[in-house]
Amino acid sequence: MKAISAAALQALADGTAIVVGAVKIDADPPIRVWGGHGPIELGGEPFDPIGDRSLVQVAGGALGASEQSITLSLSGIEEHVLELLDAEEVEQAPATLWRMIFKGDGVTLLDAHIWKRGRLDELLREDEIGGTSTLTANLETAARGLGRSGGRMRSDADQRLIKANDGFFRNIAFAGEKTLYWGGRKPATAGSAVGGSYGGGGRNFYNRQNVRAN
Amino acid sequence: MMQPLPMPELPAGIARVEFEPERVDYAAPEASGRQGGVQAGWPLWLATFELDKVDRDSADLWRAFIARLRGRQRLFLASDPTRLYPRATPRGFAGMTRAGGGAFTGAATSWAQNVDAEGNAAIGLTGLPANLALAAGDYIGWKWDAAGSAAGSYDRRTMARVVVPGVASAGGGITVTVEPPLDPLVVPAGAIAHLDKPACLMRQIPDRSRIGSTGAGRALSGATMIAGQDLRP
Repeated sequence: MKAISAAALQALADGTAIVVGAVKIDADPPIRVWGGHGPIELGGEPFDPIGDRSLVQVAGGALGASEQSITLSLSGIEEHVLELLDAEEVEQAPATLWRMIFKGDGVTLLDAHIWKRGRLDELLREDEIGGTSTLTANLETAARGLGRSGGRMRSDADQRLIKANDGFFRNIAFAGEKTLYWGGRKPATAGSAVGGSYGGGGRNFYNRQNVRAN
Repeated sequence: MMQPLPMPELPAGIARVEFEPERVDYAAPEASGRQGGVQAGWPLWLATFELDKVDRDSADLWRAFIARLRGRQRLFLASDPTRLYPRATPRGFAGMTRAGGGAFTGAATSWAQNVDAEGNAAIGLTGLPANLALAAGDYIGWKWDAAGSAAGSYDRRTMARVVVPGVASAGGGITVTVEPPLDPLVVPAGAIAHLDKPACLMRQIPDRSRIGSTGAGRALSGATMIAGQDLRP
């Protein structure tokens, strides 16, 4: 649970809150930017202002649904952000996303807390002629990093690589392709976890029968 | 760093202007009708300057100004042309003296912002002429030097609009409520608060602006410029 201060909750309830985001990417040098217009200190570290309203929008997600990775769209020309392209140790750099709640006057900071943590996955730069210049950073949250399996798969093909005649997985081959999200909703039945309805895993009633027949 | 460009003083003037702080809200209205939501970031000034058919001299000045802006490249000092000075002194402060003595040029000797429990931003100014009135709709500007700029270059600006009027005391002090409140992370305590041509820094939004067409007698018609504030510490 995220502990949001009582004053911030009151401002949210009143509809007077100003919400701003901040992100820290621990590359070398570290990138620390936030959506305000002046320099600020969070957790003892200085954050550079980029005046970007969109920093707060990024952490979407639905209650009880699967955890999502975070896509940050940053200005492709902001000098504080551009350092990211030349920084060292960008690959899998730890990233921290903050959310700050200000009072409606924009002067009083009511609450600042870490909203999400993850690691930098992809960094895409897109310059559109006559359009916008954006730097898109994909942050992997716990969802995908922890959900990843090793090289081995519980599939018929993989099992037959070990032993050509071992058909143990032949009927559940599709289970290896089913993604189970860390932190996601608990499957109601085993069937919904591995195959869902008859349509799950690209099978319908008839080829399900075929599987059984095999 | 290049100095922000001043807006040209057109003989024909600017026909229509919209000069308002723009807020971006994430609304979350409920089925009950209650309007919920939060505001994303801080309000910034957004201006629309419209010229009707203007004479040749004005057209030349305007086109030269737009050309010098180089699209979005250069900042300019954007003021509300309908309120360059307080309503009580529409022609400026010539001949006025501070309550404490000395000529008054528009700059206050000191300023302070006090935000009350309800979030109203009260700006206190000192060093004004005695009994100077600030009406609702008057502007207060702040100017300061960016880090690394020469002292006195005043290449950073912002402004706020008076929403609750006030009258200066016999000692030249006044307190008025303004919108939007000043961001103390941006405006340094040493900034100068002033009432003469308060301005903020803006950049043109070229894809929404148009320079208009020139017709008979070299008159320019249909020019519109839309610009947004660039607020930096």
